[in-house]
Amino acid sequence: MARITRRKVLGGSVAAAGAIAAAFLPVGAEPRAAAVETKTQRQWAMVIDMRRCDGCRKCTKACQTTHHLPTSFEWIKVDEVVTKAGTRYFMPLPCMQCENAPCVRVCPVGASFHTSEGLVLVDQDRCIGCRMCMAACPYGRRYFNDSDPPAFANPFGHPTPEFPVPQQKGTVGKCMFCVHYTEEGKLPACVQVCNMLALYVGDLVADVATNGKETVRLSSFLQDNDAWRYKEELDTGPRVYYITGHGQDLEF
Amino acid sequence: MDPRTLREYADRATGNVGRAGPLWWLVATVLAAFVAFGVYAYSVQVRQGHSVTGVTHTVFWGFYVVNFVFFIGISYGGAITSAILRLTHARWRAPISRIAEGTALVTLLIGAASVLIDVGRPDRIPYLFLYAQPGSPITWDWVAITTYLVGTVIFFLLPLIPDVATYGETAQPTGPRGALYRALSFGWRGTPAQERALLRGIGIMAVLIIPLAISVHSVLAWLFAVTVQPGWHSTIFAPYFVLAAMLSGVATVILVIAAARRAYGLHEFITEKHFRYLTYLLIALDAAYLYFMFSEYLTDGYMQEQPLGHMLQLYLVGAYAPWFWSFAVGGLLLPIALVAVTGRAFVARSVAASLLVVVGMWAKRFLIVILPGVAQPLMPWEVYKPTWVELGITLGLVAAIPLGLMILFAIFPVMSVHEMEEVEGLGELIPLPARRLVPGGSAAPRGRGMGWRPRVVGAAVALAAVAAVAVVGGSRIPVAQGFFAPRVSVQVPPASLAEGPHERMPGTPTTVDTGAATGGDALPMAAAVAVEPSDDITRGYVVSAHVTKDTKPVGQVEVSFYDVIDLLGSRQMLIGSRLTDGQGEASVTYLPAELGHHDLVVRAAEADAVVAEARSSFDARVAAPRTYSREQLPLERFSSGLPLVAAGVLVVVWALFAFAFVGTARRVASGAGDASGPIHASRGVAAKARLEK
Repeated sequence: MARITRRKVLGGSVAAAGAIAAAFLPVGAEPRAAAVETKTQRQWAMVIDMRRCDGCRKCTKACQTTHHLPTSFEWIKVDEVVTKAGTRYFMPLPCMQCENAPCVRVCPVGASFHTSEGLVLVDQDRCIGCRMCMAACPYGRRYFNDSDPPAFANPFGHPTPEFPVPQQKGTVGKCMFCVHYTEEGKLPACVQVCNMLALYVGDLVADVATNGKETVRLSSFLQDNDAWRYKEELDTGPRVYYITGHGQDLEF
Repeated sequence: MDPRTLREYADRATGNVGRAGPLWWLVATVLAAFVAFGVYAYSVQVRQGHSVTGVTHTVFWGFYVVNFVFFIGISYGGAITSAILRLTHARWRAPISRIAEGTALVTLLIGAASVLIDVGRPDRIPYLFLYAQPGSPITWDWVAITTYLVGTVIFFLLPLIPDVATYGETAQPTGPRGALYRALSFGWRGTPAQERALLRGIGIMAVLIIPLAISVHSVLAWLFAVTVQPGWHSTIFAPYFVLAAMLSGVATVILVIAAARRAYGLHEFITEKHFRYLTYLLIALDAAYLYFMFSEYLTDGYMQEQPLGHMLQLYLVGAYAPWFWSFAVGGLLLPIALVAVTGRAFVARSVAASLLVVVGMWAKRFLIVILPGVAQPLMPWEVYKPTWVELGITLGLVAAIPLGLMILFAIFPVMSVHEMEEVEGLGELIPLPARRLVPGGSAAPRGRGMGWRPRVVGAAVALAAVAAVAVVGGSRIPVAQGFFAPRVSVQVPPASLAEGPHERMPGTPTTVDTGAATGGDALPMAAAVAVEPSDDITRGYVVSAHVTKDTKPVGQVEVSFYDVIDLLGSRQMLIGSRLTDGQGEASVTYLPAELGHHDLVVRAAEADAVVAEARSSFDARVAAPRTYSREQLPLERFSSGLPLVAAGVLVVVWALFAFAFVGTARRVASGAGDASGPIHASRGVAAKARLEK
C-alpha cells in the first residue's frame, strides 16, 4: 500500500479547497443581463400623477387580465392613503424597477435579473421559490404563486421572463412594465386603460414620457411638478416617480 | 471509577446497541406515525402549492422558516456543549458528550429538511449549486450549513472510532452493522500512535466547531438582517441569534440527556451534577439573552419611530402580546425562578426549566420571522394563520428528533466508553499533560521533525495567502474586474448621442416651411414654421410660427409647439405654448434631448378649437445634456465582495476538515502496527466480553 504522507493529504486538501474557492469567484451578480438583447436604447421609467388618480383600479384589473392572474395578485396595487390633514389620495404601486434592486441582489440562483433596458424580470424557469426576494423588497411588490395559476394556453409557447403567462406554481412573479407590449411598440396594459391619464410610461434616455394622450419632456415634467420617488432614502434607485396630489381639478 | 463500575458503564453504554426491545418498537412506531403524517401533509403542499399554508403575499415566510432557525439553533447547542467541555478538559463531560454530539447531528439534519420544505420548487434545489450567486444570503446559508454538517459528522465520527472498534471486536455483529463498525473503526487497536492521531483529530474539530457554529448562526441571522425590513435590519442580530441558539441548544441537551438517562438507565453515570452544571450554563445564557432583548427593545422603542413603534405595540400590548409575554415570562424568567429556588428535585426543575426555554425560544423565533410581514406600514394588518399542513409538518419534524436519536443510539453506544477511560486515566493511557509538552509523544520516537501544530498553522496561513492572492490577483482577470470597478450594466448610448452641447456648431438647419399643408383648406387660418439656431447655440433652436388669416397676421392666438417623437408609437411632445403678438408671431426656444432629425408640429388654437396647423423638420446639431445616469452606490460591489473574504476562510476550514478526518483515519489505519508502547485495550469492554464468556 502506498504510504499516504501528510504532504499528500494536505496537497489534496488544498486542491479540493481551491476548487471550492473557484466556485465562489465572482462571476457577476447578474449573469442573465448579458443574455437579453435589446433593440432600442430605452431606459424605462414610469411617472404616476396622483393628482389624477381616482382609485378606480382599472389598472389592476387590466394587469390581471393581461397576465392571467388571480384577483389577489395586484402587480399594480392601488393603495388608499388618508393623511393627517383629512385628505385622501390613491397611490398606485407597480414594481419600482429599482436600479439597485435588493431582490436581484439576494436571489440565490440569479432568477431575478436586470435587462439592459433597466427592467427587473423574473425567470420563472430558474426561480426556486425561496421568497428571499420578497423579504428583500422594501415595497412589497412581489407575489408568490402559492397555487396553480388560472389555466391559459400561451399562444407563444412556453412562458418567458418577458411574457410570464401563465405564471408557474411555486415561483415568484411581479410587474414587468409589460415588456411584452413595449417591445411591440404598445403601451403597458395599465397605462392603456387609465382613463384619468395618471400613468405615464417613459424613457429616461430620450427624456420623454407619455400617458397615451399627452407626451411630456420627462425631466422638466418631473422638475416642474416636484416629483419624488417612494422610499428614495433607501438608495434603491426606483424607476417610478410620483407627483403628489389628491384628485385636484387640473383642467385637462 | 473502579474496573467493575467501568464495566457496568460500558454495559449501559452499549446496552441498547443492536437490541431493540418491544418498548423501543412501540415508541418508534408512534413517532414514525407522526413523521408519516408530516410527510403526507408535505405531499399535499407539493401537489396544491403553498396555498394550503398560512403564508400570504405580505407574510411570505411562516412556520417552516421558524422551524429552520429553531432546529439549526438547537444543533448549535449540542455541538458547542461538547466542544467547549472537551477543550476545557471537563472530566464530567465523558457520559454526555456522545449524546450532545448526536443531538447536534440529528437536529441539524431536521433543520436542513425544514428549510427545504419551505421552498416553492423543491425540484429545483440543485439550482442552488448550479447557478449559485455569491452575493445571496441564501448561498451563504447553504454553504455554511453544508460546511457545518460535514464538521458535525466528523465531530461525531472521530470520537466513535475506539468504541466501534472495541464493540465490534467483542460483540462480533454480523451483516451490515458489522461492516459499518469495521469501516468506522479504521483498524483501531489502541496503539500509542493511534491514540495520538485520534486526540489530534478531535482537538482540531473541537476548536473548529465553535467558530463554525457561530458562523452558521450568524449567517442565519444575516438572512434577515441584510434586508431593510423593520425589526430585522439590525446589527445586533448575528450575536443575538448565536445566543438564542446556544440557549435553546443547551436546554435541548438537558432534555435529551434526561430522556436518555431514563430510557437507558444511566442514573449511575449521568447524575444530578451533570444537570447542575448544564443548568447553570443555561441560566447564564438566559440572563445574557434577557440583556440582549432589553437592549433591543430599548433602542427600538425609545423614540418610537415608525414602524418600530407599531411593532413594539404589537408585541407588548397588541395582537401578538400573548406570544410575547408567554415567551418573556414563561420562557425566560420562570426558568430562572425554577432553578433559583433551593430545594429538592433539582433534576425535575432543571428539565421543566429547559422545556420552558425550548418552547419559549420557538415562540420568539415565530415573532421574529412573521412580524415584518404583519407590520408593514401602509397596508392593513395581516394576520398569519397557520394551517393543519404547517402544524402537521412541524409535529412530524419534532417527532423525527427522538426517532432519529433512538435509531442513532441503537447503532452506536449512547455514552463514550473510550472517553470515560481517558478521563478516568484507566487503560494505561499516556497522561494528557505529558503529550502536550512533548509534541512527538513520550513513548514513540518519531521520524518527522515538525510537530503537527506548526504544520496545521503553516498550512492554514498558506491557504489564506492563496485565497488572498486569488482575490487580489482576480482583479487582473476580466471576470473579476467588475468586483473592483463600479459595474455599469446600463447600455451606453452611441457616441453621437452621448454628449450634450458638445460644440458650438450653429450648422445650417434645414427649415422646411410646409405652411398650412395639412388640412389647410378646412382650417380658418394658416400657419408657417421656421427653425433657426438660437443666438446662444447652447440654448438650442428658436422655433417660430407665423399665424395669418387671409394673409393678415392674427394676434392673441395660442400656438402650441410639438416635437414628434417615437415612444411606443408616434407621439407629439409638447415643447411649449405661446400667444401670438401683433405681427402674428410666436416662438419658443427648444433644446432637444436627441441629436438628429426632428419633425415639428405647430398648432394654433382659439377657444380650444384648432384654427391652424403646420409641420416642419430640422436637423438638430446640439442637444441637451443627458439628464439620466445610472444610480451608483458608494460601494458598488460591497454586498457580494465582502462575503468573498469569508470564502477565503471557508477554504481553510475545508482543508482543516480534510486534515482532521482523512488525516486521522489514515494515521489510525497506519498506526495499528505501532509497537512502541503498550496497547490500550478498552478494559471496560474487555471485562464485559470476559464476563459474557
